[in-house]
Amino acid sequence: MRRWIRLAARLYPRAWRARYGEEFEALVEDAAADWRQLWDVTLGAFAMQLTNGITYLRVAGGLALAGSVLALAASYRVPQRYVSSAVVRIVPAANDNRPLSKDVLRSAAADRIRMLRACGHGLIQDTVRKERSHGNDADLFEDIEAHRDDVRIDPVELPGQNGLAVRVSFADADKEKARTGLANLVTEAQRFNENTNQSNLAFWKDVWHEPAPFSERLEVADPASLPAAPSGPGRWMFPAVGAAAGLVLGVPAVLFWRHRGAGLRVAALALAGFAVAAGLSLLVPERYTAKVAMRITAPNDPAHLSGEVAITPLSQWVERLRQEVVVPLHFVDMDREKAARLERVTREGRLGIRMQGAESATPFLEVTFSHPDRSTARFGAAGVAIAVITQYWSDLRTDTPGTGVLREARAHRAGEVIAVEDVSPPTATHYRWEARAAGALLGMLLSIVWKRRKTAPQTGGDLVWAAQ
Amino acid sequence: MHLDYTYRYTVKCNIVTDPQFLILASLAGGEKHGYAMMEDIGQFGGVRLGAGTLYGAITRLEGKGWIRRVESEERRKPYRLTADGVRHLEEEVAELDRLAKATLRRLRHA
Repeated sequence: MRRWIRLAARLYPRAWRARYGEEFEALVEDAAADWRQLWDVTLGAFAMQLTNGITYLRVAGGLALAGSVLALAASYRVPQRYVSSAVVRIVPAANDNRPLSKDVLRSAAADRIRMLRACGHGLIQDTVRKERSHGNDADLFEDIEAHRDDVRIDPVELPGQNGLAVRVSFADADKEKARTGLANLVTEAQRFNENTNQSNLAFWKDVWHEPAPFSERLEVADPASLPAAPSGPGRWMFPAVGAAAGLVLGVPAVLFWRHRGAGLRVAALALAGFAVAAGLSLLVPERYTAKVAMRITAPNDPAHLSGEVAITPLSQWVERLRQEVVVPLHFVDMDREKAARLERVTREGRLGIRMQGAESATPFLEVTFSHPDRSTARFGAAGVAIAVITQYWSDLRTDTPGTGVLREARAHRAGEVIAVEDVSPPTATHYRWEARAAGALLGMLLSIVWKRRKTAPQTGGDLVWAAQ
Repeated sequence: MHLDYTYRYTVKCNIVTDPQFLILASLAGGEKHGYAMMEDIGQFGGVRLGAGTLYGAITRLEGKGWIRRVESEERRKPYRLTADGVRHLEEEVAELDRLAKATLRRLRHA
């Protein structure tokens, strides 16, 4: 133990050791050698380093090293991520003899990507429900649901192939689960796409009395791969971040140690400010807002892409669509249980439907829903968005006021499709963390003002040894 | 004499365990080297100072000019109080005495 204490004594600044080193070593030899002594000497060395002129670099270096080691150790607590990927081609139906251009296919691919993205959530939920009703093990699907944000869908172009494709990837801590999960997701997406095509064909025929111009299939080009190596996290990144954090922490550590009184006061008032702000923020009702952007897509039918027909400005008919179809929302054609819940929920929260970018080439409807409960906010926004789409198709089939504007719209715009573009995660609107941070900052500012009024002139001379 | 706020706070609230005060009090009994101070403080103050704490305080006291090292050929260098150190210690003890007396008066009327 004495050896360790002697080593710790070497941590004192060189100038200090030049003056006190010999007698300090004599004291260490005489005094008891135990853990307490070791800790005391180490802490003393650290404190003495902090009184030196080039302290910051040393402290920051020490903290950076400590941060790197800690971060590296912590990195082994973070599970490895395996990414499985599959390539799905979007191909026209076998009986589709239209001269499909690359642009049309790209548009179709974009719609399928959006469909996959937007419906992934509901698709998986429905699958879980279905699997449960059949008494099957739904753990896998629940796992996919839990990792929904780990699903990525990117468009790719296959060389020499007719049609576009998307690369779907899914990340999981278990490589086998990543592969099976992705394979199941792709299978379900294909099934969902097939069902959607069937429905679209029927709707189209009912409404327009002509064959539907779209029925693209999803075809697996590359099945879900079994990842050989984890894709992350990069172990080297953790020590780097730890070192950077250590370097940054060096400044407050040095300042705090050099001015312990002031440092304690700043910390105490910052904490008090944080606590007061946290308490006050609890008085503000908690509310989350979820948003769904619904795009009015360009038509898929190349026959109507020539621009020969007179086109009504999109913003005009979109506004009529909003007034005649979207606003008088009755939740028709929805699952009765879900519709009842949606009606109840929308009465509890704040619902907003408005047009965004009406004058631009890509206008979209934005559904916002605020509710004190985070998941209910998401349910409300997504539910209303789905209801809008359901209403759209329902009005196409029946002779409701909305049908008129839709028929007119179809005549001029060749059957624009309304589809979910993006579902953003609900965001808190109560700004609690911002309030807490502001409280802490205010406390710190108050402590600085207080310090200026209270601090007496300091005695000098503490660094005589350092100059020697 | 101006004292920094930290030290004033220490003197008023924690004087009996403040290493700098304990060292000054120990040296009031005559010059001593580090280990002798450590033993002396353990006996009269009931506080066991670690080597790091002791020499941290010695460094500061010497910097303030309240103690001085006595030149010696030995490895163990003795220290003694300077005139400033004596004056400062007297002031601190007087302050402590005043506080103790005031507290006793209050206790008698309690």
